[in-house]
Amino acid sequence: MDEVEFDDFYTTSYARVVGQVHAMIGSRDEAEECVQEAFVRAWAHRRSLDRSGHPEAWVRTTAYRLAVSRWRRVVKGRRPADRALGAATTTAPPSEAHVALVAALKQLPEAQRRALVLHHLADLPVHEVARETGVPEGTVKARLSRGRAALAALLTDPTTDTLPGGATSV
Amino acid sequence: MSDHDPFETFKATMSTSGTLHPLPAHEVRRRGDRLRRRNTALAVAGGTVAALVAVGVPVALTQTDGSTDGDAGLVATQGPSTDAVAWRVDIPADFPLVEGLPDTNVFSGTPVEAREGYEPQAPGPCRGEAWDVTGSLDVLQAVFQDTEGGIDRSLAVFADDTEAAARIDAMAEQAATCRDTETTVVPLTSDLGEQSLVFANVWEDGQTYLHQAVRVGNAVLYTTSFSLGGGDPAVLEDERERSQDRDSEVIAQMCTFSADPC
Repeated sequence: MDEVEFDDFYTTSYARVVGQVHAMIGSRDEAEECVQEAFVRAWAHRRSLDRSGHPEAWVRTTAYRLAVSRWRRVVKGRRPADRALGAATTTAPPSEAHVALVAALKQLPEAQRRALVLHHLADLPVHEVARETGVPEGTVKARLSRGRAALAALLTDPTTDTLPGGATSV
Repeated sequence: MSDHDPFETFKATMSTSGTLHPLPAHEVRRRGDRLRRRNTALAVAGGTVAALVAVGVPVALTQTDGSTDGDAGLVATQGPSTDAVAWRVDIPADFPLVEGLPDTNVFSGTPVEAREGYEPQAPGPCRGEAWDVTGSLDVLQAVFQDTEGGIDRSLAVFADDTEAAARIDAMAEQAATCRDTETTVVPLTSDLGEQSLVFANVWEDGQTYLHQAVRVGNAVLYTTSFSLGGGDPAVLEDERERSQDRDSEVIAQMCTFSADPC
């Protein structure tokens, strides 16, 4: 992957991966920092990136592992100024449904949450989710089934039996 | 999925909602190049010593006077030290020694914490003590107690990289020369930090203590872990990988002890 290819890859996938990791860990700021660092590592290890055949999955997995690492919470306080993120790109605030989904996902077990995000947000087929998470396909299917049921229960409005935004099922 | 699938709603807005702070692509590449240079420098700085390559067979060793000793003398590992290097003399207060370990001990429920000092938790080769921190400038230890055995991790700082390297060399010699009736020392391949050593101490019933020592600069991270099934090479290799993975972030932070600190 040369500079032009990497810059294009970075530009087109950055926001999408931040959204996916945000859904996995529940913190947008943490997700963005981890995704940013994952892209730095991706360039440093671009030969591994090329060999993987799935560069976006490589970055997403690296960012996710960084995010769940307690080390980041310990050292973030002494992060030097030059590691600050770039200039802000302001867009519309998140919708109520957006916020509700992230909050509900956060209440699920980590394995179910990750499977749901990879399958329903990253649009990965079951076998790709299995590859990225390192578990058998049957395990992925079970996590998706249980996760969907739990998510539906969390998202259902108790007063109207509908989901935020008018949805009736997940 | 229904037409009003919350995931579809989320996907439609996840790339555009909220404020993002992406670095310019050229800055990402600049930082990646700096990371790559630092990793390369650490890998070649003092030379990386692989673990023993065969059970009971000493690594071909050279003593400092250039002679060889068929009975496995110390490895004279020359680090990058010069008189100009100002080595760290202590462990930073916020060093994440417990990173990767469980939060609490299984039976007591007490938190797993780093404490000053060192006490051996696992028998070494020939059931002796494998690790010697005598004369170290600073040492911390964290112990996780599981239902059976556990994980013991300690970090020791020495006067310079040569002293730290000599301590690992001494452990390697002990492992290479151990001839015991109840245990077997099984060497495993390791390539961590600037110098590393990994071996398993296996009892006849399969109880196993994995020992891993990693040096960066003048500091050594020494970890032991307990497992069963050590008679199977695949189990040992799996334990080695788990130990390496569990210690990876701590080892990454040890760059603070290198001749060119992070």
